[in-house]
Amino acid sequence: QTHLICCFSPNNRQGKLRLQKWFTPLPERERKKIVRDMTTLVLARKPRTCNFLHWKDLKIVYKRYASLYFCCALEEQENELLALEILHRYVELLDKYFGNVCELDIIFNFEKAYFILDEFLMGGEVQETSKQSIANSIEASDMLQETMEEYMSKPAF
Amino acid sequence: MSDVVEKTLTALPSLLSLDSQSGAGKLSSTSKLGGLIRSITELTSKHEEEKLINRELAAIKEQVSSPNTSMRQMKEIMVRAIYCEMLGYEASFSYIHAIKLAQQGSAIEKRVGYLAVSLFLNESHDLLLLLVNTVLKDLQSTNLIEVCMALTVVSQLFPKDMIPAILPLVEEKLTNPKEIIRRKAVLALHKFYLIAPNQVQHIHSKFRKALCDKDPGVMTASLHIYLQLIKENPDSYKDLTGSFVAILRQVVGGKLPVDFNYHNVPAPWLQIQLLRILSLLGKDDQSTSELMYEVLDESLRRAEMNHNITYAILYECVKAIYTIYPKSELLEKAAKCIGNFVVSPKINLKYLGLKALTYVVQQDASLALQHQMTIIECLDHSDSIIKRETLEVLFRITNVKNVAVIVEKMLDFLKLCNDDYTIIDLVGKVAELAEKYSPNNEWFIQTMNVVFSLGGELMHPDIPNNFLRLLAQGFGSEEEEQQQLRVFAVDSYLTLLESDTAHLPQRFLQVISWALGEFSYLKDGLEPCKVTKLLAKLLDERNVTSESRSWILSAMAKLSAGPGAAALALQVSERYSSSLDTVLRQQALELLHLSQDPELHARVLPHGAAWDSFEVDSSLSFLDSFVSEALSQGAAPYKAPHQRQEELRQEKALSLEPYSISLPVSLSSCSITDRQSPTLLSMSSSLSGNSNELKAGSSTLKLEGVKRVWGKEGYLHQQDAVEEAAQVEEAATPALPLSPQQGGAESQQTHGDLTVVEQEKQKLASSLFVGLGSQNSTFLMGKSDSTSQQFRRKTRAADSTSSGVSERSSSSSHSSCSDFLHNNLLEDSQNSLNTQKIGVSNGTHEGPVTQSFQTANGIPEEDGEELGNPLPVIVDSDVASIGTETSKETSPFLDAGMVLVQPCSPQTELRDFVQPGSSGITQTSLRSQFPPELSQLPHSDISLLSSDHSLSLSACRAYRDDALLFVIILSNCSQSSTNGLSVQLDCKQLKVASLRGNALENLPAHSMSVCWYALLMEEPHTQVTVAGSVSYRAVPGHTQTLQFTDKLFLTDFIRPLTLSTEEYGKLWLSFSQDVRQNLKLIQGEGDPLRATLSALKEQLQLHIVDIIGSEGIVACRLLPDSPCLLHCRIHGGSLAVWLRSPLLSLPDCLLYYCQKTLEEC
Repeated sequence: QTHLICCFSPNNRQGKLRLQKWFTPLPERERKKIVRDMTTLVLARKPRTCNFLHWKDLKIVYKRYASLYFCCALEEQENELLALEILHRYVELLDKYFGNVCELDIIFNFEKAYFILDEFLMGGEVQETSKQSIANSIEASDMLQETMEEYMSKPAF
Repeated sequence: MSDVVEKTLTALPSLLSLDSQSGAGKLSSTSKLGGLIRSITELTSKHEEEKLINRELAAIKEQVSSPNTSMRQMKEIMVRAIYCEMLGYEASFSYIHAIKLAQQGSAIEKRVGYLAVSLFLNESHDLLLLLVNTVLKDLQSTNLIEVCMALTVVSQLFPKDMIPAILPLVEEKLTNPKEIIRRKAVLALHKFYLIAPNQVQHIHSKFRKALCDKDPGVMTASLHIYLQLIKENPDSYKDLTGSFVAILRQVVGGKLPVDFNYHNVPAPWLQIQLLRILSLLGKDDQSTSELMYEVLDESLRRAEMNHNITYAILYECVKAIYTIYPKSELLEKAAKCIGNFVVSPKINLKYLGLKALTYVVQQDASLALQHQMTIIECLDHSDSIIKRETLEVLFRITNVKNVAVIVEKMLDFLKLCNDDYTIIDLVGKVAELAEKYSPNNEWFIQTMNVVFSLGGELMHPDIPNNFLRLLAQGFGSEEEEQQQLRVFAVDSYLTLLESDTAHLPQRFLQVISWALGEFSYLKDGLEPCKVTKLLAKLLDERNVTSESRSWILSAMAKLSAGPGAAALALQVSERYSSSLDTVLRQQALELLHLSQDPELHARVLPHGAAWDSFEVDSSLSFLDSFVSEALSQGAAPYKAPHQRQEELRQEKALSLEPYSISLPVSLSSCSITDRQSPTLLSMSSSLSGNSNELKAGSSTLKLEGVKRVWGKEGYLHQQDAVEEAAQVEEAATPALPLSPQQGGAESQQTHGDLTVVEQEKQKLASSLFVGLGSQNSTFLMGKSDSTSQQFRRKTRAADSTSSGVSERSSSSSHSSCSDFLHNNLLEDSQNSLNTQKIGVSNGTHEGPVTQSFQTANGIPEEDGEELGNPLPVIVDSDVASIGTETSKETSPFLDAGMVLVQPCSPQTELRDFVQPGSSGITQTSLRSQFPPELSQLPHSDISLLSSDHSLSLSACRAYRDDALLFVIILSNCSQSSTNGLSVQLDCKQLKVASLRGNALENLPAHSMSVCWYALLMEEPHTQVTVAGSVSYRAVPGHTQTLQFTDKLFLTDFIRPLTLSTEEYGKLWLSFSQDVRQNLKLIQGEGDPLRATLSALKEQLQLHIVDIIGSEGIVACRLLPDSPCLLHCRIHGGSLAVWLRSPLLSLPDCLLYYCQKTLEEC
């Protein structure tokens, strides 16, 4: 089970958080500490090192995509390579939705990124792996939005 | 810059009003959010950002509270609030509005509302209760998307207590025609199962349906639940092994739609999930493992090495192969696969290979031998994560011969490490290795010195405590060596103290001063005065804490007997007798007295006295006169803290909030956090055993108390056990076939031209991997291992065997498994011999009964004598009463094993007893066969469990006060008698108080026999399955077995607990596990509380202690003796129940039944 998925961009050796989703209940302070420690640890990694880290008894798996770092935190005994693939599939999903996704897409449409994540993972477990099905269900919800906005934009009175 | 901000902000309200007026889509949400984001990125300092965000938040606050804000605007505002929160600023005022948005918005606004809720709140937030109605409504919605949203939010966060409210609706979704809804419902139930397992207990059958769902996605989702269930109780799901294997075979074979492929690999997540489940099922179970060998082989074969995801699958596959019952062919393939990982140039793969190796070398240390050069390279890897993982592998292969090199490598790593968690972990491991395998005293002391210097204050307190105990207690045998160790310690500490002490951690100083105080007299020619001087110097160091000072002072007290030391002691005590710290002041005064009175000193602190010679009066009786004097002068008697609390509570007993003042209220949801918190420090197992000593260490006085507990006898006893185990290993060694593998040293030396670097590495390799080859392993098991035992003091029995196994396993897993078989056979033959000895045939009926019988399930040796007494007594029905008398004479139930077997042959009644349990007549006829002591007990209906052509087996439960009796009624419905009857009952979750392999007698035609087992439930389970078998011979020489299973419930093991209100109050405070929930109240005539409680009492065998006004207290116990207390209160229209118990899951389990009972009423 994944505890946390987050995404940040490096900013003066500190991470600037772009997304974070927790799947385990933890006190707010603890969460902030984990994210803070995690970003510093990840940013301190040298090139050509492995994509895994220890944080206390958690395993941090991270990967850099262009200017963005995607991370997740999981239990020690979990499979790190699999976690790496979860991150990769998430990026693929973002890419499919936004079409050649870039950091700005995620910054300005972060709620969309959350919606996609919700379709992909549920309660920390992989829910749906098919790119097409996820795209379909997101589209279905978005369609609703279009029609709603059209509806709203019509002068009511 | 700030001008821009100003402008933006001043423009905001007008923009908003524009938006609300026209409603035109010109100003989309992105523009406002975009504006915010852009202005933030333009800022240069953190301070400016803070200012900007605070202003933004103020604006948001104003907008959300304005009544004119539409839901659509609210959605946009909420997105901005989420953004601010993500940047680390609190926007708690918006939480309630997020819930409102989820509640009142249209579908699209709802989506943002739910998102905001799931990001803002966490599981225990109070506001979450407000969400319940919204979720309820959306779950019932006809709109697919709304239902999906509700299910998503429910699986993200939902208050545990409210699960029953929505559970039926989620359950209903399991049959929804849309697969996306079914899938989400299954995952939501998975989440419920994790946070409140008892709530979803009743829908296990529906999980099976989900497993068989025609949509692979739903099936995959259900595996999450199954993984969890099987992890908890693998035995109950063995029957599904075949299905899981079949699914995996289909997936691997590419039978799923391509939609499930991930980079051309068929459903990798599904594959991994299945592999994990299979490894759990096959663990220690040969027959189940055999079912999966083929498919595991296929997965290994199919997974081509080309993509990360296939490596991930291979890793799980290897893990499964090494977890289940071993098969040599597969093990070889798996080992080869790990080899590929480890040598891979891809660093991630190398990491995973090392991780797999860590797991695998515990079972087969020779594998490390194959990869020794790679391991050496990884030790010098530039990536510290790889290094760390390599050390982990080395830790698992340490033995007496390579311990020095491995510990050196670990210490090297530690010196460069600055992560606290890693330091704690590694320091613990080094200390463990040093204690276990130390080659000599000097090395041990030096290593521990480094451990103490590096570990510092972070180190687990067990390490210094264990070390001191090791120094203090004799090893029983070699007194001389022990003295040598102490002298070494004293020597090295003196050297340390003579140099600069400023960098030494406090813990180390404490260890040093204690050891010097105790043992410096052992060193010839060392003046106590010199030591005292050094200690006095240390005492004056500025960075020494007062705790360490107290240790130093007590060391000085021990040394203060000598003439020179006394003067120094006087000086020191004068200085500290005015210290502000009372402990130091007291110790200074003690020092003063002791140094001036040599006689007193000799009496109080004798040199080298045996540790168990101290007698500590723990009842403090010497203070009695002082206490009585004080009492007579009017002092209040002492009350323990919990007593004080209780009194405080009693004063408030019937107020509205009965316990809140005296106790920290631990919300039930806290337990979730505990259960899943990823940050709990998991200490190295070797360190956890000695929690007693955690408390020691604040002063020497307390330490002495600890020593007393761990007296000489206790220790000696432990060591005996270890030695015995070692002897067994030694005895077994010759039986092990030597495998042809060579030890590392030899194999590597044959190589010719090597560069110097390589030679060095090879040298390192030969020192690291020495002792792993088979030749060495025989040696290890013998002498060298037993000499190393001097440091193995805390090794428990289990520990010693496991280390034995890992050392021995180098001689390939083949041999170890044949060895295992061999052992078993040996045991069996012994047992069957025994059985024959005891076998008594005293049948009185027709039919051949004189054969001595053999059963496969023999009687454990030690029971032989005992069983002589209560052997199955077979009597005629005419003399049934004699039979029962006989049984009464035998030892009480719980000790006596199978107590009574009573066949009866009243032909007339048994004629119609062909299908037992099928009619009321047979029930009564069966019941009439019960001996008096059973028939007096309340019991359940008799039900037929199993039958075949000659034998049928029925069972019922009889409720005795001290145990649940599982009564088995065997009846022979054939024309001939059966012989060699043997009943075997098995249930791991229960304590079978009388499970002895038992050989019954022959059962004549058309007769019945009754026997029973006394069962206890030591660990709470809502329901357990008991399985068993009856073996018998209808035809001589041909044994048949009849299997049966039955379910027992928690309620079967619940008995009323009679106690007074005062006793209840005391118990209540002492229990730690508690759960609260609101239950349905029975509305009937009279007092609803009384009605509800008496219904519970009737159904669940509870005892109502007292009812006061709208509150009632109820108590019960779980057999044998685990109490559970209930506090019930009318609250609103429901019954607020608060359960407490010392057992972890008992409140949960009992609550489940309370709920069930009241629902059914």
